[in-house]
Amino acid sequence: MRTVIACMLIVVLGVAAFAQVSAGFRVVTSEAARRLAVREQPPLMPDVGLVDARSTGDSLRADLAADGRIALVDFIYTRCESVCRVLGNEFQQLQQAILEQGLQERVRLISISFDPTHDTPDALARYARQMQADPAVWRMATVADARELRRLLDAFGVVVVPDGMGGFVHNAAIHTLGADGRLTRIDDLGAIRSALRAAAARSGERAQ
Amino acid sequence: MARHMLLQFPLLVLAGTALASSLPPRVCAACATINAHGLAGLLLCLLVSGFWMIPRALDQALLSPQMEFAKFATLLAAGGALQLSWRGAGTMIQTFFIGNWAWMTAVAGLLYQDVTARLCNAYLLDEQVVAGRGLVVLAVVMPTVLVGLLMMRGGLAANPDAPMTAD
Repeated sequence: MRTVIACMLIVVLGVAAFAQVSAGFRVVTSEAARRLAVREQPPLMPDVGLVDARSTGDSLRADLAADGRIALVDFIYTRCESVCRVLGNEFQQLQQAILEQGLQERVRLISISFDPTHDTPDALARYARQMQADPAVWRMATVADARELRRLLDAFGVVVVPDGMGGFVHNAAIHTLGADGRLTRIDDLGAIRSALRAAAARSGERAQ
Repeated sequence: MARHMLLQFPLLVLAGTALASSLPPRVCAACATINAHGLAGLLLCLLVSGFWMIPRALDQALLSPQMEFAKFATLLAAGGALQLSWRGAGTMIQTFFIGNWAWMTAVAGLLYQDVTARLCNAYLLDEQVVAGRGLVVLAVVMPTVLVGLLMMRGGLAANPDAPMTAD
């Protein structure tokens, strides 16, 4: 009888632990958990200073608030040959789609480099030219203070792992940020259409 | 990832068994009163090892100190529970336990190899494949070892009247 009670206790604790780690049996990976959490309760992103060729150290939230548009944000490093190339392509396509659909007054793009040592404002400007980024739509920046990078990546839930060949691997995705600085949505790299549709719909709601 | 799951985890479980075997007899007897046929202990082992195959649990163990502590505590406890439960369990329950553990581990290992996306944000895709292969190997080795053990003690003889326990 005692064994039965012990077993029941173990099962109850086990179910609780499994439910906890899987957000109520809905996710098994950190990536899915991150997306679910963001949708349920959009977190406020930290007010980290960003630099690029045109500005030195205006903060992310000040930039979002002053600009007013919905921002689709990704994380990059310009030496990247693998997934960031894809991400670069996705963002090129996004830029094209924004311009074609006339959404440039409502939606914009920000690429943030997590490699401030190599990606100086000059390097980012070069990369922007390579990508044919339209400065009115697509901003490339990095953190003004490298010590703040950790805080920014943690808030976004981005984990960067060295790939052993001088590069990095990271959970690349399209992050939707409102003008209020809240992260409201995370989409797969391939899901540019649904990310853009959601951003356009949200900016439309706000305009009404 | 392979080192985390296939080296650190088993070592922690082994450390747990070593700790449990040095427990005073009084404590062992107290544990035995709630662990008839080793059922509670083996159940704990199954749940703990299943839990630490969830990719998010692995990620969290690397990111949060509390989760890392929980990992050490539960794997040591699982090792201890295994030590205190195995002998009392008898051939039938031992086989059932290893069988269940093996298919669970094999499925996890096959999934790790099959999924094209990274399951853990902290690990690369090829590490995931290596860990998956290792889990499948373990899932084959453990039942094989059990069959070997049973053969050595003559537990596989076709004699229905033979006692089912090892001791």
